[in-house]
Amino acid sequence: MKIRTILFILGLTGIVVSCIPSLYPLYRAKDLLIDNKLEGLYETGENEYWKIRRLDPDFEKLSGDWNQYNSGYTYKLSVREDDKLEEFALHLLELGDDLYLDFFPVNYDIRHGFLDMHLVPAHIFAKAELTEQALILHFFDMEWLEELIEANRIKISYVELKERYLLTAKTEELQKFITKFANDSTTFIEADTLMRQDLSAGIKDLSLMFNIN
Amino acid sequence: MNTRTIILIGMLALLASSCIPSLFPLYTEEDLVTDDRIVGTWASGEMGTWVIERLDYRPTSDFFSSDWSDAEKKNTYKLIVIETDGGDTLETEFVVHMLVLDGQHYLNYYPVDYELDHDFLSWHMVEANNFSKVKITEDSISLGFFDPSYLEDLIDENRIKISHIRHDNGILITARTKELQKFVIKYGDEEDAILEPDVLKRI
Repeated sequence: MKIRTILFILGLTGIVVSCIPSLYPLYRAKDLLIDNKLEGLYETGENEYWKIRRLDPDFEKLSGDWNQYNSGYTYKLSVREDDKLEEFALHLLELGDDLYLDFFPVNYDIRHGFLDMHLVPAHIFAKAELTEQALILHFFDMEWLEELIEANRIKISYVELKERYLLTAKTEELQKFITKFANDSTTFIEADTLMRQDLSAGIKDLSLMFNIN
Repeated sequence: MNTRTIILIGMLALLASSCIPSLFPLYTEEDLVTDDRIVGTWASGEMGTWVIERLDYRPTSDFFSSDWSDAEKKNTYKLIVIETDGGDTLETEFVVHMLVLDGQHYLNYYPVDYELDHDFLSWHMVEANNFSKVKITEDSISLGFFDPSYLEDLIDENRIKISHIRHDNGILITARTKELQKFVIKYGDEEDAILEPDVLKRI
């Protein structure tokens, strides 16, 4: 069966993501970086925002599943879509000459209890560029991976799910795979540019939008 | 947060953690059986209402949406789980297979048609199989799910070597079907390995 390429559209501005989930993170502790330019508020669609801030255990008490992210190298990404808010652990790392972001859900809420028993969280990642005004994300293209697998051109560990592939390679194997194809123009879908918002320019009150710390 | 809210969250957390998800199914084709006494509408307090149909009974019916086109039609059941949350009715569909291992009947569940109300979260969520022992009578179904804490103890005490990965909410078994079956056969009769059965009554 040919796996369908799925394009998910996030928000009305058309952030199109076709990503590849992974059981293991892309990062090891020694790969992690801090860059203050990452922090900020990004509008990703009508009534849809990303808020990124660094978790600093020296200055705040972490709660719940966030307790394990106490290295000082974790960012908390809050993604608001209409009235729904979810949180993700965000890690910035460097592989070769490129920056990457690893996303992983934390404290997520799936309302259907029996469905919740059948869904497990996975990492996704993107190549990233940070400028003074924007965060540019290059998500990996599922169709590209599918072609590599069908052509027997890669040997990375994976399993075939109903509609996409899941990478099961451990971090070291994952990093080798990513860096090998990092400069291949077919590896990524079209870049998503998230403009950092000027908080003095009339953006609605953050506490109202996110209802979080 | 009031007491009722805390109790509700506690119940949901208990339900969500009361299973051992697996990347691979418990069954191979040769293990599959059917018992159509399972077909019908079933009620269980915490687990909502279950509607089970035999998939190959009505293959031309509108009951089966296009999302089911890939499902194996032979020896397959369709399960709709209807739950309520905050006054909303939530429905999710699962493909269910019945199998026999070492003389014991099991059900394998896998989500087929579902939606999450947060797109970015949905990209991070991976579908997994679940399985339970099953005992069927004319009026009830008894489901015995494996206790995840029992498996965690086995792993922590190095008493078992089954491929798995730990995540925030527990353990995901990554063992292939044959390895998974060996685990289930070995521990399926252990009293402590199975949670107290959930009994669904025919409506």
